[in-house]
Amino acid sequence: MKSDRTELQQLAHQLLESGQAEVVLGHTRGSDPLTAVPLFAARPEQLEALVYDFTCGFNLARFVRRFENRRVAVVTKGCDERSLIGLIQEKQIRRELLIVIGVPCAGVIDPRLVRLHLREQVVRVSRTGEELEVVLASGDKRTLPLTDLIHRACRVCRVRNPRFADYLIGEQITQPAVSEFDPEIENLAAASRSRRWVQFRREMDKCILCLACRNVCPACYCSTCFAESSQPRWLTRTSDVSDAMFFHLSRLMHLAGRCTGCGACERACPMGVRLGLYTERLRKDVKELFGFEAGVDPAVEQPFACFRLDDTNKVFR
Amino acid sequence: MNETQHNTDSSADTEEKWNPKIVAFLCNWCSYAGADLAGVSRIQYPATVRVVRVPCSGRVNPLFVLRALQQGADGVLVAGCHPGDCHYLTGNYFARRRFLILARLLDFCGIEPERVQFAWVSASEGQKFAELIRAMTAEIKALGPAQRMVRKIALVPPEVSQALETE
Repeated sequence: MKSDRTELQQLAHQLLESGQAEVVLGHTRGSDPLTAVPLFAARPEQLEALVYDFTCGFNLARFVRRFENRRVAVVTKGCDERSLIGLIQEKQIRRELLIVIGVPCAGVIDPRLVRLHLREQVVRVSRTGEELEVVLASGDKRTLPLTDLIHRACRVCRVRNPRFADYLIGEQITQPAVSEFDPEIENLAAASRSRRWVQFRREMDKCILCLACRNVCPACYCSTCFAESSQPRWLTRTSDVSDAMFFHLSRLMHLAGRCTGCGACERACPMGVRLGLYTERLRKDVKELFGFEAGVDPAVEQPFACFRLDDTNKVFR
Repeated sequence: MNETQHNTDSSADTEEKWNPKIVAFLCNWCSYAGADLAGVSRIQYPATVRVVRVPCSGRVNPLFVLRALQQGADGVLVAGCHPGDCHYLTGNYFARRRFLILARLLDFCGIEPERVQFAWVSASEGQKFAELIRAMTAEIKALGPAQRMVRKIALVPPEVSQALETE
């Protein structure tokens, strides 16, 4: 995956200067070299900071909704595109106001994996071929194979190339054959109930209810989220682990049939909660039970907004 | 983290005495009427169920179920009209999909499926309702009191609630 800064910046300039777009949503360097942060550019001079590479894991579909009636150009990976389609389907954004700048993506890195390998502060990263060159705070340099550092969600990605892009930056990437769902989900599902409980409990113990997962999720756009509702007061944010469980199980139920599996939530989590295990499980269930995949075909009705007379009665006595 | 059941350490005496608390969300037109019929017909079943009457099983928010578990319910039941018989025509169809997903999610997380159950009970099925509660009570008794999703930290510190009581 090339770092197509120049081509992307040129296109962004053209879009802004011609008035085709009022805002360009992209990525830029943040304080952490391993994680790019969102960039909102309304003026051409702001585009100098526009970058795109393997650190751009943020799902920019998250922000499109706030630019209600303005023409927005969005740097869009395949996963982001699925979120955009989901938002269009839910009538939260209008396709005609959107300019999709498609970027083929072979995967973003998981900063947690990098830190696991290095255990030292990273000052700079660059890519050479299939390797990541990392400069540490001490001045040391290390080289790590890129494949080891790709985020888990990207390993099962089947949308490396955006399908509805208005413009495509760079060359299309060959879509490798990947398993549809993370095999780890199967393993966990097959494990004993006790084992599954231990896993869930362990993940929930890490959660500090910062709500970063919800904050970065494109599908979480309720103006009053249940987590912040006071009447009724669903969530009491105490240190009791049942609160974390309540929050996540509830959010998962709200995401059922809508989550595209982009992994942004897992990347945003400061505590390393493995949200992907549960979102993936939901996606798999929805696919198996209702034959539905979020953000793939905007013509197909969302599974919980409809029903079939011959739906299974399983679980009902 | 072990799965020791409540009864292993206590005497058979305590085991007899503990009864599960089951919260049941019953739709007004079918399952609640069915439960009512069981009562009127004086069909005996364990007094473990606490009923919350809702207009339709489709009204039941999955968060209700999670909330009940968090607040210490040993079991939760959601019952509605049989598919095709919903008073509001389609509410139970939505509930069917919704709770299927909830059941699978809870199971995947290790919450015992015997604790959260779903049923179609019509207004004439008083006997079925009683059977259902008998069965659920037995299944949950075997599991012991709920521990996994139960809130342990008091929302109001004991000192405060005591002070409020003595005022």
